[in-house]
Amino acid sequence: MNSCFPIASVVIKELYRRKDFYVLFILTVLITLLFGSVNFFNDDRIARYLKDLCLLLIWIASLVIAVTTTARQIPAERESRTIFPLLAKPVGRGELIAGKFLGCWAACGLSLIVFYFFFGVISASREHTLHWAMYFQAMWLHWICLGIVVAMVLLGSIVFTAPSSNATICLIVIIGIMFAGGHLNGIAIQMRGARGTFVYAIYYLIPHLEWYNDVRDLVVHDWPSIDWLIWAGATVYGLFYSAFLLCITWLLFRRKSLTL
Amino acid sequence: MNSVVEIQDLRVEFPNRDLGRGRGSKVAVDGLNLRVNAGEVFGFLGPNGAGKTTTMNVLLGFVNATSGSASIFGVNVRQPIARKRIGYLPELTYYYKFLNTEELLRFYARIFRIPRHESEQRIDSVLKLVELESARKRLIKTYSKGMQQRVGLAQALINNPDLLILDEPTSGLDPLGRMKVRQIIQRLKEEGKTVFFSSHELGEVETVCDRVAILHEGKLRVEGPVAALVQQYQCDLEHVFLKIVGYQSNPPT
Amino acid sequence: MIRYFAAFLLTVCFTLATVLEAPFQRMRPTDNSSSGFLIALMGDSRRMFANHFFAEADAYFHSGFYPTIFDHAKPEGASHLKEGPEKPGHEDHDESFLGPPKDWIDAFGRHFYPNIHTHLSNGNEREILPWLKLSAEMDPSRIETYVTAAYWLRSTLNKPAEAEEFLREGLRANPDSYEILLELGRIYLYNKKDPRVARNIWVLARQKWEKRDKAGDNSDERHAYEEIIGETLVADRDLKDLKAQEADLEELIRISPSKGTLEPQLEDVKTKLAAQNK
Repeated sequence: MNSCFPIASVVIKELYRRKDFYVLFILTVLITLLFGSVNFFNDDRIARYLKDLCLLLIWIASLVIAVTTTARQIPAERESRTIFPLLAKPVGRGELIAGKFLGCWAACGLSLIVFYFFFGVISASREHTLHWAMYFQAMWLHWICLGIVVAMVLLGSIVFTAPSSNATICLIVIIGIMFAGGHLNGIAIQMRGARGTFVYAIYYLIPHLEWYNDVRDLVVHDWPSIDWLIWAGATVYGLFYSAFLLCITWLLFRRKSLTL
Repeated sequence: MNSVVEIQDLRVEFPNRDLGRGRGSKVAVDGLNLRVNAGEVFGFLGPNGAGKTTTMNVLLGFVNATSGSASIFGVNVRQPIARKRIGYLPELTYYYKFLNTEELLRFYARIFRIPRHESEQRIDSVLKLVELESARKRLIKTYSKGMQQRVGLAQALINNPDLLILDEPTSGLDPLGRMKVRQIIQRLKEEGKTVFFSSHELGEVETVCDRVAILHEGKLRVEGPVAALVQQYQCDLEHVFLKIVGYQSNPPT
Repeated sequence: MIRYFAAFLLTVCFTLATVLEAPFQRMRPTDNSSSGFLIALMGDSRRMFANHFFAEADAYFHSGFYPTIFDHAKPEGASHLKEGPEKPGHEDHDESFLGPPKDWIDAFGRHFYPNIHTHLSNGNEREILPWLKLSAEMDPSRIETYVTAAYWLRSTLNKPAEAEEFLREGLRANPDSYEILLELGRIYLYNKKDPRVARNIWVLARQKWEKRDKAGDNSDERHAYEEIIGETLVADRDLKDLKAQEADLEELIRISPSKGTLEPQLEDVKTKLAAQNK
């Protein structure tokens, strides 16, 4: 498994040598500052709308970084043929998958640190206080969520040939889950019968990314931090789901011919 | 003599779904038996589609054999450990654009778990060998095709391998680039390395190889020392090759 | 060649811009509405955004405890943005739209979003203002937006000047709105302590209401009329104008269902008026 770390380090290098991250970060900063400069009824203590907007932009940027960075990893290795000299070394396919996952996930984590630091600055400048525990929990759970996203996109990159179609399909699925995933049970109950059972099965099967996304509301509206046991539960759920998706990815990739 | 590469009754068949067209399957390699001895330069020849790259892909674990077996240093090629002592140069590879050569080689050295101080020495040594010392800090995306091919050679040599597998190492290079690659192979031979390479450049094969094997339509047609083949067929290697693949030249009318 | 083509494209763009400028200017409304550009750009879809932003303000008022489109019911007393200070006992575990958890995923997921019914207080009501401002920008004809924002600005945030400015902005877009005039009068009476101006505004509000009533547009807005007369009565009390108070009370008794509390007040005013005339 030691080969995972060099592979991961190349992915991280790729992130900070490409322009994607900088463009998204600068856009987030500019849009947040632009909205922050708007004067609403001469009240400079209004903070929540700005926190809301900033967090929304951070979520969008992080999803774009996670999906686009991950979607191109395996296809780019195959297209440029670097996968051949790499796998010609004592590197197993499982290690390649694990290394790519670790790299993308760590790259997302580093991006999140930068983004949340900016969020903390914006929040503190308005509210003159920092809710450390809540912000840490939000960032951590955001990162765990991105772990599931990265694993999902990595699986997609084995199934779909083109990175663009993989990225599009994964983004639609992720946004769909965040928007409606938690409500599928209600829909299933209304449907009843076989269709209801089918929807309920989907509800249990999908990764509940909406949990992690919902934390935004707690941060924006200054709710107290989540019970640490619940936080740990969400972390374990996310890690298990990522591991599950990675196992499927490995099973598919293990048998896949690289030459055709 | 110790055999480094051993292939027995190798058969590789690509099923229909992999080819993505028509019915039936394609036999890429059929009943191949081959042995490469330690310290020799072995030329693997054949026209396009003969099964050379497929055989190499089996040796490297990229493709699973339908039947038969292949081993490197006595270890089944399906085991990643079999690749510990080999260096591989694929045909036409575009290495990570966002890295420079030094970083690329350091990355591959880390995969082999070469200690840091040793890897720095290896990087210096291979960069000197492939004459890329002056460009070591430049991003690979700024390199010419010939330089990229030399980066490929450098990465193949980073672990000081005992066996080098080179897939058309001079493909797409200008005469100067080809000469440089040839010189590198000669030096490796002098160092006692085993080199297994495929090429279409028969003149260069004749110059550097100890033994050759000619493959046609997935089957091994001939194998032996270059000098012996030339003597047997009473012509140069190019004509030997053409005779074996069944090429009939029409005299000008 | 490419340079010539680029120059040609630039010329085409410039020409198009000059040609399109005139129709664009004609499309712009002639009133002073700040949303003229938005109207031209977004058309009627801006009303949808305005409604969304108003709902967002309501969600903020509940600190994020708000139903999604999947939750068919609205929280108890939907959109009670203008309900005033929080009633005791209101802040409790209200699961009116959530219902009991359906499964473990639902139960576990409830830890990650606001699941307690609360209202903003202690000046935090300011957090709803950006959404109300945006809602007004999107749809200047949405009177409720101006009234709600002004209510919080004047009542808890101590910003009567800003409230008045916003209401006047609303009044320019809705010159016939008695609702905005009613709220504007309150600023003059309760914040600026100027009952005379407040009274004049409410007289105008009453005229606007009656005008709309005659047109048959606001048959269900009786309550607003009651409020206008009620507030006028308060101003008249401050002005110590017994004659006017008598007229206000008579009108209130005529329209109000709770005559019982008003009649003694009218008697009292009449007594004072008789004593004054002696």
